[in-house]
Amino acid sequence: MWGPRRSIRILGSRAFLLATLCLAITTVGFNASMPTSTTLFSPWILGQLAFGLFAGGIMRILVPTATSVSLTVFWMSLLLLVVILEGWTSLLISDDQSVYFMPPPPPSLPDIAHLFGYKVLPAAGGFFVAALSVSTAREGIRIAINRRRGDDS
Amino acid sequence: MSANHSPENEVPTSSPRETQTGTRLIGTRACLRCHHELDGQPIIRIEPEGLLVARCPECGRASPILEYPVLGHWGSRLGVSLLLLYIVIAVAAVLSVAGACFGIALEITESSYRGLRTLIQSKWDAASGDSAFDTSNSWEANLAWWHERGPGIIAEFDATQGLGLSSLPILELGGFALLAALFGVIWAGLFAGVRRSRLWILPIASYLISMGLAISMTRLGDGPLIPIYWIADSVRVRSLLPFTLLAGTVGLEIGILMGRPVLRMLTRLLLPPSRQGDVDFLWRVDRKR
Repeated sequence: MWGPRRSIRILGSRAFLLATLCLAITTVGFNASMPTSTTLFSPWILGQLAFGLFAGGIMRILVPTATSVSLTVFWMSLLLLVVILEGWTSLLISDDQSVYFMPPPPPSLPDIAHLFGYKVLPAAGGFFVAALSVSTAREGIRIAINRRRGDDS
Repeated sequence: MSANHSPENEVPTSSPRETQTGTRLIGTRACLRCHHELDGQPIIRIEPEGLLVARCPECGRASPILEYPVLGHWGSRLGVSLLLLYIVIAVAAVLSVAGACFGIALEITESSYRGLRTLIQSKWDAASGDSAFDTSNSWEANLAWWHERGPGIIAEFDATQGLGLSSLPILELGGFALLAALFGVIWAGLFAGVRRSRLWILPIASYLISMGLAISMTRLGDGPLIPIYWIADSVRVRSLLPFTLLAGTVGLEIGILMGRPVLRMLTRLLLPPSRQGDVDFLWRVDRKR
């Protein structure tokens, strides 16, 4: 059966899914493209945190049904994937241009730990805090509205 | 209004009776109330009107099977256009991924064969004194000379620098496989109508397209002279590219076979439960629902 309402609803669901994925990838792209800090207290770490908070807030508003933990795990794994592919691309391009300059050495374990601690963790931490805050705010608004209506549940 | 209720205007009615037609609904059709998929539900005839309906197993609402064609001819035209658009997108997806894999594989093999061109050049320069071959320029080698000395030069390069799987950078091959796995996940969603047991054919097709493209692009031809970089490219395509593309194909296979569970997980995570029924083809195609 073809019906405009049903088709629009199905298209809407798929478009929403695609838009949410695109938004997650875009916010992850912002975090991945920022330089990684070399010290613990630096503007770059604050930048990772700020963008993580922004991404967490937006994603939580768009996806209210998922738990904050699973949403953070999803976003963090996307960030890890983008960071790995970014590193891979730099290896690949340097390989092509190795006539002109030395290709970078393959990453060592401390390099990976540094990247995780100074880039992925601050961003994911910011994301989780923002997701929790939006959930709490949403729940607070719901309770306040119910109280105003005289319903204490 | 009251005239409609006068006894002469009343249509004689009898209590509706349901009879089974013995057939089941095949294809996508949603419940009019709750949008639950009615695929596989028994088709019922409601007498005395003779209406064919399928009853929703979730909410019980009867949805008609036959209805007036609301869009007239434009419905079928729109359907055909959408089908053609889907075919174009699907073919473009396979060709573009095959092309991208080909480009990436060439980049990965770049460092492994660089010395080969220099080696062929030095051998050709040394052979310039040999009057048996046409040595009118230094950047083009004689094809007959290459057919005669080529295997020896390749064996020499293989012995000193390595020419095969062991000479390829493992880290770059791993990254290629990971990227290809992401393409595979997208394919698993794009080819949602294809059964999982047949999906593995697509990466193989992509591998064959890429290899065919590579071999046809680096064919040495029949002329007496051939550029040296072309000879080196031809050796690279035959010795290194099959292994590199194989890494991408393995990634594509993993992605395409694991893609549907990943997409189902993403749908569960990102879509509200009330909307998940709209993409339930992801479950039905693998008979999970």
